Amino acid sequence: MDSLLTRRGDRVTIELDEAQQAALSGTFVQLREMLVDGTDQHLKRLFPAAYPEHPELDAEYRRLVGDDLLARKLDAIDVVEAALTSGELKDDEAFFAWMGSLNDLRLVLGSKLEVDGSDDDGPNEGQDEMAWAIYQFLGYLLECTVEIAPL
Amino acid sequence: MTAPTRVDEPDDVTVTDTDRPWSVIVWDDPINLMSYVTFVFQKLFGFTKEKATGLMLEVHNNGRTTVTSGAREKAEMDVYRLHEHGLWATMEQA
Repeated sequence: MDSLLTRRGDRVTIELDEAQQAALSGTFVQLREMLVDGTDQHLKRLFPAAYPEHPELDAEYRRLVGDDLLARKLDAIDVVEAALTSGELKDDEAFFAWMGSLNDLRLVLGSKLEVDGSDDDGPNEGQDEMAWAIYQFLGYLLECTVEIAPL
Repeated sequence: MTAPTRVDEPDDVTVTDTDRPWSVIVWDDPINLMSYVTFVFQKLFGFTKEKATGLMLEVHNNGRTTVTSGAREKAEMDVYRLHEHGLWATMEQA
């Protein structure tokens, strides 16, 4: 498969067909709703404990950075939605927001799909095959993104 | 022993020692891509591709590895940046 992203200088062009674009947009809308609501257990993977053995230090860490982390993730979704519409990432800031947000969505979907790295990962009985297909596609899109990431 | 740097230290700080450095640990998870984890190590810590790949493989093969260590504030900032990038990071005192 050809890369879905092409870099020319700071600008990156994203080539998705309509179905891919619609599926991703819809899934990012769901991620935003989940983040705003904040109760879904699959969000835990996005906000790990810094001090698993010191609950009080961890509470302090969350108090210090929790809002900022959430705000950044929501801002990044805005960037992704704009990029899905325009087919373009105009600078490195947009590029890294895109990369991080693709990864966030993949983590939440993977957590929902109970991906555990074993051979029997895949759409299990009763699981949403569409969600699995989007998870796989996100993996490919993220690989394409990392390949052209600037250091 | 140095004086505490924060006046609002929580009660359980008695189990930590302000002098000993903190290690920043990255844990293996079944979802993050190996290429992505390697890139994040390069981007955040300025590691060479070789060093970043080596650390990523340690995480993958051993379940965890220490990526940086230092004073608590610095370690906490590194953990935050790793969390910002979706990596499963924690910190513990050596």
